[in-house]
Amino acid sequence: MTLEADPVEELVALGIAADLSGAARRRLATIARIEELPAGKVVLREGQPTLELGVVLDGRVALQTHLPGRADLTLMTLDRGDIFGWSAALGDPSTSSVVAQVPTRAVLLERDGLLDALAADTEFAAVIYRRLFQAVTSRLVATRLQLLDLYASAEGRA
Amino acid sequence: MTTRPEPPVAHDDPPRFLPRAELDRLFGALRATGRTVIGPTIREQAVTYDQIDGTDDLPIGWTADTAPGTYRLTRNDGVRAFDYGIGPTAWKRYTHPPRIPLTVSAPSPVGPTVAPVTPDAPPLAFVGVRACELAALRIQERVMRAGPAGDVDHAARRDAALVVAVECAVAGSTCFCTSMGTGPEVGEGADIVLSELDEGFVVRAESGPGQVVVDALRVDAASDDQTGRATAQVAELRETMGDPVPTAGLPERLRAAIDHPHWAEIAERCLACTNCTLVCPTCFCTSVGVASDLDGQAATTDRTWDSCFSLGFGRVAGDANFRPRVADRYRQWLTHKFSTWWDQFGSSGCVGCGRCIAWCPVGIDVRAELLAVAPPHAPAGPIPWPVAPPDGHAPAPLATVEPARYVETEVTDVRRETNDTVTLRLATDDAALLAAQPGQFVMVAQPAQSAPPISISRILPDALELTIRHVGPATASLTAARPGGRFALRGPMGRPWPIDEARGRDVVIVAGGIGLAPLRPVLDAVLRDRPRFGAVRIFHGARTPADRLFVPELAALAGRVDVEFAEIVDRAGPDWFGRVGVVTQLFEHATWAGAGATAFICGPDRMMQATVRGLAAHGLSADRTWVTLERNMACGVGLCGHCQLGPYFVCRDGPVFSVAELGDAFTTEGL
Repeated sequence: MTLEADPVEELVALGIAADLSGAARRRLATIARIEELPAGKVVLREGQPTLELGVVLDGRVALQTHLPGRADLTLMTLDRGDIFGWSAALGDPSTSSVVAQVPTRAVLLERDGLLDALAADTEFAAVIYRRLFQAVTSRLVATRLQLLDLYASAEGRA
Repeated sequence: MTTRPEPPVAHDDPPRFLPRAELDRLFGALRATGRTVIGPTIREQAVTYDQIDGTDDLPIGWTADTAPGTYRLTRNDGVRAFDYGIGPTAWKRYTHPPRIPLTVSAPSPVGPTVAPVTPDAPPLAFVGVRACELAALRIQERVMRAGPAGDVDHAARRDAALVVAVECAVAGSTCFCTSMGTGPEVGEGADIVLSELDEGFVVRAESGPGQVVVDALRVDAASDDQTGRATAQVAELRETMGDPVPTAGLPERLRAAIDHPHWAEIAERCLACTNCTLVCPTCFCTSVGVASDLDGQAATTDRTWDSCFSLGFGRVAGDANFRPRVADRYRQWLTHKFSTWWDQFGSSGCVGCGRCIAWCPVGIDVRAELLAVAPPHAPAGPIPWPVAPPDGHAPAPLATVEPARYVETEVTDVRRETNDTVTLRLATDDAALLAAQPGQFVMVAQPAQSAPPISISRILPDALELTIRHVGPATASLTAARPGGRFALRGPMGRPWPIDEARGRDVVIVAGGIGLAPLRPVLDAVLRDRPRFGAVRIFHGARTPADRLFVPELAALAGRVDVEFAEIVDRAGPDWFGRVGVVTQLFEHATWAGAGATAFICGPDRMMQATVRGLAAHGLSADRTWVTLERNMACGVGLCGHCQLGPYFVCRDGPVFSVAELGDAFTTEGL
């Protein structure tokens, strides 16, 4: 039964929590849970409080933005190992909506507990912020590549 | 490849002496061999090389003052015929003319045919070839006779020319042959060598054909005094000229200076007028133009000189430009001449004639720029591309391509892939075409259009498939083809993907956009022989769901259990339930180890760069990570210069390269 899996062990396996000490892992365990997200489930909504930070274990979620008068636009999809809802670590509203595209299993860290842990435990904070920073950097690079619209230009290829 | 016939060994004959008053006997002897004599004469206030009838046409009593941006004829009231400063005309005008016809296309009952034009190479005698110019002829021979297909026009013209060289007794202020090792003493390659003294000429035959002419002069042997004075005046000239350009380590110093700020400073002065390349005796770059009748059925292609200083030289379909800035283009020219020419042809591309200095309208002096960019004391520093391919990964033997050999093919199937891309199946029974290997390309000729290089997207027993995107006029015509249409193909060309090297290993294939087309034959080969490969991982990116090529084949890949397949699109509407993002996301968090795997990558350069970084993070080595660079390939055989990338011509040395071979050339902008 997947719900019985240990969320901390899952995060360790993904490398996200691998650098945490035993004490930090125990602190993580108090705020982490695994959830099954049915397809179409809106996990976070753009502009609303980011109540959870998530990590995809299986399945796929879509980061979407709202375009008035048009269907919500999928900016990017996230797969196993990808982090979403990183605004929770800042206490900020979500920068995009997060919707399960297919049945998805994810580790969720609830925001208030996460903020408390980050404030109280510098070792925990150093590891988690580093992982978040990596995720944001990766997202930024990917977004730049999307903006370049590389495949639109032929670059001599025919 | 063409080869020049070896001239018979000259007789062991002492130098002769031709009195000045009898110089016309030389012209008569040359004409007696059936040759038209080309030599120095004054045209439009400069000494140029043109047809001459005799001594009266020579610039006797004239010399020229040269300096950066300056060339001025002046009277010296002397008696000598060859004391003029070197003029703007290089002998390449006759061995590599500014314009030649290449092919003629004509309608026929089965469709248009494309036929090569036989070179028209009249027998000529070049009189007055200086040591540096002789070196330039040798350099151009190395360039033009290089594989995989030598330039038959150049070979015919060079082989039909007899060279009468003249040792310099004076030098212009812009000359630096002493630094480049090309003069002032005349080196190899002349048929006859003249040394001019006030009273006449010491004449040496250097080849069998030269000996025939010298024998016909019926003149006495030169005296020891005459030969001694001839030798002494050249030695004295060498002493006077000194060594103005320190060339030791220059190729490496230039490589280390690829990001030097001085390139931008030069660009503020450089007009990109192309004068330097037009007067240069070794510059060989060309472009091909097409002229047709009004109905587009009959056409000719002409090859004309071009220049890497032209803005359009690095432009490709889709309006991208690999060298958009003047700084890029000046750097390309200078580094090619003094650095990467060594990698490509085993010599410098500069002979020190100084023409580019005198004929630069703003007086840019290449000697000064070299000292500023790559001074002798500069540390070698990091060299941004390998001098030679890493051990064990030397380029595979190149396919031999007959120049201008086009094979007629018939379109038997047209499959529309996207709104701007089609796949044509071209039937042929030509053994060479059907022996194509994955990664190779063909040039596709049609009347009234340029012949673009197109990657082969499938190799069948009786046909080739080409997947073509409409990006310009030529591809617009190709993508409008219908079954029964006919196109002439030239090829196959280029270095293929090293599939054999991947056998027994895991394989990673990453394709982006139209880049899936050159990788499709790799997929065919790997899947046809699936048990002989390890894990096969295929990652595919496209712009939108509607831009995906070979959709049924992608679906089949997704259904296979013996490959890992994932795809992603940059952007999508609500009806797409697949992944959205960039192709590197597909393996960002993968847990497989890439060490030992072989990767094949094709897509836009920027996508390939990101992919290479992503795969390196998984342990893939640079020498087993292969990319294909289909740059601005025009001739397909390394003769036109358009697709140069650092030490490589992409069409000749690639288009498939390992990332290790490319080094920083893979990511350096403006190369």
